[in-house]
Amino acid sequence: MTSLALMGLLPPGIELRAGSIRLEGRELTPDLAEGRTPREVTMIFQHPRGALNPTMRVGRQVARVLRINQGLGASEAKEVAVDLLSRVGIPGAERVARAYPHQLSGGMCQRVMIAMALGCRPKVLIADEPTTALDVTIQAQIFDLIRDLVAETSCGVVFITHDLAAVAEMCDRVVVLYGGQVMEQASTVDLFERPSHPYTRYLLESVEREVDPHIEEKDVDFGLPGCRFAHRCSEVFDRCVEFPPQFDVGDGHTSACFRHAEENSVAS
Amino acid sequence: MRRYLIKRAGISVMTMLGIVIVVFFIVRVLPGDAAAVRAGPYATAEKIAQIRAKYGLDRPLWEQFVDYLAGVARGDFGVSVRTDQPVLGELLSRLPASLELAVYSVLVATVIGVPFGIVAAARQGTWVDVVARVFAILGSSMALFWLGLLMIYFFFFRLGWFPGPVDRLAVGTPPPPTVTGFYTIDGALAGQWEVVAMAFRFLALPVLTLGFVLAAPILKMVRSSVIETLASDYVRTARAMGVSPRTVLFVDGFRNALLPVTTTIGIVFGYMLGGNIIVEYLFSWPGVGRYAYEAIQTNDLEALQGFVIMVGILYVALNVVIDLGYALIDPRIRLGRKVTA
Repeated sequence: MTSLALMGLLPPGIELRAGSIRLEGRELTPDLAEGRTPREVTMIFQHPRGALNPTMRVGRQVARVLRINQGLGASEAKEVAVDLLSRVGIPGAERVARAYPHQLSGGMCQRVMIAMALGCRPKVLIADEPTTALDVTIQAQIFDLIRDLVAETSCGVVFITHDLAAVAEMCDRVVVLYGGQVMEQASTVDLFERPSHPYTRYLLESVEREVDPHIEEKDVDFGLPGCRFAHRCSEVFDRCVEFPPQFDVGDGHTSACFRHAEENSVAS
Repeated sequence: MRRYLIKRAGISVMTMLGIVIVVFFIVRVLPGDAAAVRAGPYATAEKIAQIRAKYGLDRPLWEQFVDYLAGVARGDFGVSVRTDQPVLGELLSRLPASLELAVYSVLVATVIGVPFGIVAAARQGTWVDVVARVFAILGSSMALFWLGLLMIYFFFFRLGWFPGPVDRLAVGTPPPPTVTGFYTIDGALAGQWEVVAMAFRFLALPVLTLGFVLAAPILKMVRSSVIETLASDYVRTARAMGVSPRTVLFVDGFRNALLPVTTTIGIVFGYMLGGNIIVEYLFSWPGVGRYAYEAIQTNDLEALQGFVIMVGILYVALNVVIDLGYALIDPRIRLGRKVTA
């Protein structure tokens, strides 16, 4: 949802009300609130095949993006599209350009999506679980591809995932979200070394071993005030009914949990 | 593709055989005696028996059936008891009038339903959408004969904008030389522009009546399918990649909604083939629908079953055309091959 807000693509009935979204110091919020997608931001999605138009050849889909975002003519866009397709590692790009999405594998479709995203020349690429629908070997290839392209084009990537291994591999900085609230923020190394928020610790534990079943999956109740993780938290106490602020735990590492306030007051 | 067509033709023949069997026996079950009607109210029992023998109505039912089936296979649909003419010839001479009415009505319905449906989908919940939905409800709940009567009353009787419900052309106007049987096209081919204009004026009221009613299902289908495609992942992609809302609406939205819309237009057209008996009767349109109506009135079994079988055949043919259309619209559908998802 947050990423859709970033794209100005919120579904009907949901509005951008508060907060601020800035890119290179420029305020994007008013444009986004009116549903105008910013040119500098683009997005790739979870189910690559469903995210491509089923009745349009993929080459044309890429070329269309080029015509719109780079102002290329029809024939030029066609050539550049094929170039882009081979740049994202599609063998026989010329042939693939004439294929329809249903004729390609999921990994191929995701490569096509990445080619389209590149055609937008974005400054920020939002990757919304780009590999959850793919199998593990393809996943690794897509990671490599995204990393290479980021190095080449110096565009930033917002990588949305449930997969901590992917985080460790891909990311410089991590924001841990639960129920739409920011739980913890840190550099990747720092986060893995000293997870501070109970939710983050729980997440990391769950990778290592079977976790305590008392924390069973429950739907988040968005109506409740306070910390949204409270009803599943093993360290919950009275103050958790209030909304916790971000506590600085050092090195640009913040965590939204009243436990930190307790610890500080005990120490001082 | 060729294998598909051959297979499809085989299935179609079986379907038509089924139609002939069902129609033949249902028509026999209808109450009334064709021979008695034909002979008139003052005929003697002897005279009626004579007529019955002439048309083979006195023979065992299943013998009649085998005869009839053999006839149909040769293209002989029997002889009308009412007019003493071969049924097939009468139907074929009346078919163009019905088809002309059907084609223009579906055209009008599509021209109203498709753009209105797209706009309603794009502006969901606004006044345009409300108007479209009210129109759809009116169209689908309005009885054809009632709307037809209103049309005649206002546009012919009150305002005099259009000619009365008499025929395809004014009395005394010779029809243009037959090429297609569509007066509007034949007239143009012969360069008789005043005939073309007149044909259109006579078509106007029945076509508007049918077009209004048929636009409703098309509009509803376009609206709901476009709304569905607009909520799809690929539309989100297109928007994320900066494609303009208008292009998204037509290229990503409507293009992908075409499949259900084509189905609906096909169903509507099929309905027109057999279902405009009421409108043809109301407007004295000399088509197959009125022919069927007259056949029912006079117990003319051969004529009635000829009509039903012809409609069945047209329907089967129409379905083949629609299926071929699917393959053009959706690249995922390839005829004759197994579809892999």
